[in-house]
Amino acid sequence: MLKYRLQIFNIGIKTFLIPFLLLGVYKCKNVQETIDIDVNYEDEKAVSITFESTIELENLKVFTYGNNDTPVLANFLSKGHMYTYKPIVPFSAGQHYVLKQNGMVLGRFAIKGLGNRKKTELLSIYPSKDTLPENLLKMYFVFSQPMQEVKSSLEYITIKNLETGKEESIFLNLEPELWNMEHTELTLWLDPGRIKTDLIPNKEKGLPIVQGSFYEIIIESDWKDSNGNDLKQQYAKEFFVTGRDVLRPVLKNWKIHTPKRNTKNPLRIQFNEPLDAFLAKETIRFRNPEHEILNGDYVLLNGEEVLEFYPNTNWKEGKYEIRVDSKLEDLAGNNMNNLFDVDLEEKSVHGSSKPTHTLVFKIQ
Amino acid sequence: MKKIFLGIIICAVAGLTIAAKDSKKNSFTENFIIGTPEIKSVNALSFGPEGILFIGDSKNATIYALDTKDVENSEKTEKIDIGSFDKKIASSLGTTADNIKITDMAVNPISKIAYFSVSIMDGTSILLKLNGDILEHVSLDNVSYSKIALKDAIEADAKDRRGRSQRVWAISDMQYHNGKIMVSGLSNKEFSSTFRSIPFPFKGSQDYASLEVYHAAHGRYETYAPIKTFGVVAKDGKDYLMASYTCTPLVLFPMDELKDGKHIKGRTVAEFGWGNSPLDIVSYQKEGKTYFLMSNSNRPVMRINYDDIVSSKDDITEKVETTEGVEYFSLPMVNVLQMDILNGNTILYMQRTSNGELVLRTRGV
Repeated sequence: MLKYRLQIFNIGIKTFLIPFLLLGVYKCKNVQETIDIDVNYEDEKAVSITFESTIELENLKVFTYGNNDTPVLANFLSKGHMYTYKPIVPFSAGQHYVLKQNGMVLGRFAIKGLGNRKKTELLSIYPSKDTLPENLLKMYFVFSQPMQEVKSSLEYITIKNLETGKEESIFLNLEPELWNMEHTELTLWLDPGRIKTDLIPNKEKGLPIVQGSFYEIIIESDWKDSNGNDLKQQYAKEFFVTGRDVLRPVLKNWKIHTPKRNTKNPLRIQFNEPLDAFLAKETIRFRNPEHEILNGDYVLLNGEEVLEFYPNTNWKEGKYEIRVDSKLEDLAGNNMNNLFDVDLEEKSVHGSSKPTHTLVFKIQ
Repeated sequence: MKKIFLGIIICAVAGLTIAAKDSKKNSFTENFIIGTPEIKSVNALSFGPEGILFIGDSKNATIYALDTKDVENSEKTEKIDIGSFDKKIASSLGTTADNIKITDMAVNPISKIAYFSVSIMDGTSILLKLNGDILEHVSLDNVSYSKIALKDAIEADAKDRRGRSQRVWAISDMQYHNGKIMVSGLSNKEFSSTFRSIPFPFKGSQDYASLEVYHAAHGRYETYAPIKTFGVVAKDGKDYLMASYTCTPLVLFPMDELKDGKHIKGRTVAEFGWGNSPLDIVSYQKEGKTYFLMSNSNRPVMRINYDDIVSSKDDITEKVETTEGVEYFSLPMVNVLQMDILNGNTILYMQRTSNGELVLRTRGV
């Protein structure tokens, strides 16, 4: 445990005040400010403070500087003359605090800042293509480190229609937001109510993004990571909007480029359209002639239009299977079974309820 | 905030429930264990029977049942009016209001004490309760609890591949009703919502129903949609799920048709217009009648008469052009972020006022 002794608030009159301490006089503010407070850090987090007093102390409370009403919730421990005050969450970096007994100031302390840490970067925005359908359903934002969990992401993301110069509000303000467990991947939905044909939002407000327009999405640098640091820089992506995608992903339309036997060369699948960057990796599985699932690495290329699968073991001669979970979606949220927007009068678009779709390929 | 609708159970059923409960006293906590549940995120709160607090943890994809032992009955309704409530919570955590987020609020129907889940910048979740005007920490160390993990929507054999990203099932609402904890949630990957009904006490095996809900409000076009918040209504002795969507239609689904994996169609009873997202639904009774209150992101709190919902004859295939269907009355309460029944017809609510202050107040309804 690193101890960081902080005395910047002490007023250096300890020697003068010792007699008062011995007499147990605690009414004088200056007396109480003689206590030295150690801030204890674990993994750079200020998890507790400790201080020593030869006089028994009780009703101790810590307040954030400038606040006299609500004490910091904490557990107090005392052992001999040593006192430990452990807040239920670590003290905040850069914050100043006041230790009081019965409302009288005993001492003050501050928490050091986090220093120069590696700045968090926005690694990717998916879809990675710069041409997108006007019924695009969602976008993913991938960061190099966990992001903060307090503010709405939409406070830091702006969309501008480059044709009109107007700022647009295209994303659904969803609570809770859709993050992965590490809080490094954010999913944002373009407002589904505006995409779905004939819903009131669609009729009154129109589609979130419009065919034929260029847009710029800007991610502000003051979006903080989980340590409270800004992003490394501002990020931007421009894209052009094309027509509506009204077709489901169809397995039989994919082009399979098979590798040779006794190699670990990748199997290459060329989709007939860009697919969801995360679902394409999650929902496609390969089984060998013994029907065992193959382990390996998945790599998406060409704006999520191509998937390469690198197996851990050599390909063998025989029949292999590609099994695709029906949850796989294209950029418009059309999955293997159903369109995002189903027109009940169009019988041809009625989907299926198959949980998986299978295609056989041969390795020779 | 995820509230309880026990009040809507008809008297006869309520009587039977109480009788059954008495005969099986302590059965709710029979399989609880003492320990530290290692909860990663507190996304949703809802009280069940006997002071049991259900905690929805999206990061762990688990529902916890915590025995708060907060069972001292209180019928008093003290007026609460606390200004700058976010600052008060932040101060109690040794930080400032811009470093915290209040994720949910639930009132213990026995003690009338309000519980709050709070996140800080790095995602650490804390559970607090308000005793008078004093905030107290509800420790989750060495507590009496049980839990149930929520099954992944994707096949288990898809889990161990490299290059795979973590799927999270974000809990959007949760409430206890009639021996079951009901949970709605959204996937962070595929566009889907799942509604689960899990018997409580939790059993070793997962005995729950899940489904994706289809919303076919507009005749020609059918679409599946994520539930944002929900309630339960009873009609002719049958329970209905009253689901509210991100684009605010209010749809009824018969509970007994919610079977594992089944896609069912609901009956739209109201549509409240675009640009709005429902935040919370609570129910209360007044002069023998039951009402729902629904708070919204961009609308005032709406009061809906329970009888209007159950007697609604609107058909799912009828087109709704504007805000219509079941009638509602707008209360002069905007930007209400959380609410729950404190006692009888008094609600506790958290509101962002026009000057930006977050207040916690009580109000008769």
